[in-house]
Amino acid sequence: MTSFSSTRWFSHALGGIDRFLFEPRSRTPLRLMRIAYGLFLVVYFTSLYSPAMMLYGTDGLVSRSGEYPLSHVDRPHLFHLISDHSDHVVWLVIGGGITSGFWLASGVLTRIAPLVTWLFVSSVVTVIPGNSGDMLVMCFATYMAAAGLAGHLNAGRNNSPHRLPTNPTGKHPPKAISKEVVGTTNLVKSPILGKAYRRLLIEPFTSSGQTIPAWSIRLFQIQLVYVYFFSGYHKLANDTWYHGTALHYIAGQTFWSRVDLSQLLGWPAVTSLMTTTVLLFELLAFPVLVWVKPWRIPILLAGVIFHVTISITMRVFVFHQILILYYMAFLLPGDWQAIWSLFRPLQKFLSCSGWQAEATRATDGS
Amino acid sequence: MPQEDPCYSQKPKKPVEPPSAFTSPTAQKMLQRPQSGVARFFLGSLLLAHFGILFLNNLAWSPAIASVWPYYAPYVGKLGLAQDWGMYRAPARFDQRIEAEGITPAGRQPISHDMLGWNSSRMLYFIEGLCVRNSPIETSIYLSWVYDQIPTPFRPEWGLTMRREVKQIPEPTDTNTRLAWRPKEEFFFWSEEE
Repeated sequence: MTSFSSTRWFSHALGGIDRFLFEPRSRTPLRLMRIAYGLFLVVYFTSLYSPAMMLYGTDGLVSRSGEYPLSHVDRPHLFHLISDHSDHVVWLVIGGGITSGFWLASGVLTRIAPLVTWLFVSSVVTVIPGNSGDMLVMCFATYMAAAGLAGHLNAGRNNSPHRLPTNPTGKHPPKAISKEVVGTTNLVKSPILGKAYRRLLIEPFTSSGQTIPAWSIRLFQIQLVYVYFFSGYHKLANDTWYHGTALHYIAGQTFWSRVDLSQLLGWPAVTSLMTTTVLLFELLAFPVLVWVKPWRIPILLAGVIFHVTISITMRVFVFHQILILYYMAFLLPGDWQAIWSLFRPLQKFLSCSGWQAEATRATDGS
Repeated sequence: MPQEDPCYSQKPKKPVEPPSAFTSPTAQKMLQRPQSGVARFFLGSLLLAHFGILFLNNLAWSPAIASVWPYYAPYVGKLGLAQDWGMYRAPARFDQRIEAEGITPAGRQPISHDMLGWNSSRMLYFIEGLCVRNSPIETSIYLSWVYDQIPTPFRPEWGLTMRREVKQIPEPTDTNTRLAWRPKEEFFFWSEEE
């Protein structure tokens, strides 16, 4: 009886893992993450130009000293492979990184683009001094590469029974891309801009009928949960966090503050409460509640508020921006539709009464 | 006449192709969900191993972790999956300020952060690291670079100095105490002419 129960339990567990990793999921979150990450990389690499030039430029620190003490990196990176210590290498890496970001966002050759992106990201992360946020950028690139190799990032236009008709011959477009959602913008009349508009703003939000195994999105989700849980776990090892005084000291660090938080020094009960809240959020609330359906959106919203607040008040770079991108892994197609609908006023603003007028004239024969 | 949707391109109409071996719904299902049987088992095992490795990599260093670290270190290192979420893990109990001054025959002249390129959080992080590591050679190389970046009319004649000062943050139970800034580290760079 016991062996039967344990066998059944084991088979249930295996079934649960199998469902967790391989259940069909919409491509929409991954597509949007690809676009968002690509655009993020454009900004990221642009911001790295100055430090990269300082370290690896013709007259940079490495060329001045021969062996400037930098952190050892196991991964291949271009500054090591092309070690001529010149501005050209910096231009290559930064320019290549920016280009790869645009490439990834564009959705062209989605199996190769993440690999190229990975190479450029790998060439700057920890090679140029950074923080935990840079490590998350690197992890994101690795998971994108895995998803890209598995073919989960493509738009599904080629060979897909769900592909969007490029020229509907009397057929109505699929329901998911109704005229209301697509909008009636002037942009779509231009061949190039219209294509980019559809690829970046319409298709990712609308082609939710195509599915992929869940594992590629799980990589991002589990990573995010690990980030929170282990941040809290390691914080507990420090007595300032354990005794609720950590945020008191953080508020006192004007060097790392964007705004004057020293007012909080006079309110130790408040900083103590905030410290405990942060710990509970990281250790318990986020890692657990994000998997509970009714709590998923509230906890994600709480996280966004948490990170936006820190971004505004503290001089922390990259970490909060990239973490928000990880949040996208927890959003379902319905959530994206809801977000997209928030931009309806913008769509209306862009909407082309012009083409409607033309269409009306055409049908009226005027 | 049916009204064409302008949301789609106006290219010449192509006939709709019948489903081929690769576009049929069955083929698509296989392409999108290829994990069946042995392949699915191996991919699932690989993913579980990945999550397990990341879990181990996230744990605090211990004799147990030290014993298994050599086995998974290459995986984590080569793929760039290092896990180190130590931001504000141990907040410093002091505030700090880092300033640079030009050394001239007339004395020391403060130099603005903008002129030094200290206008991004990443640069502040970098120079804080220089001070904390307290390596005079490393810092001297950096200051020599900074010195060359300063436009000639503003370049101090003799050299540069970079100084970090710290100030204790009062304990939560003792907020009335006013503590003073005190010097922590100071680094010098002297120009070759000097």
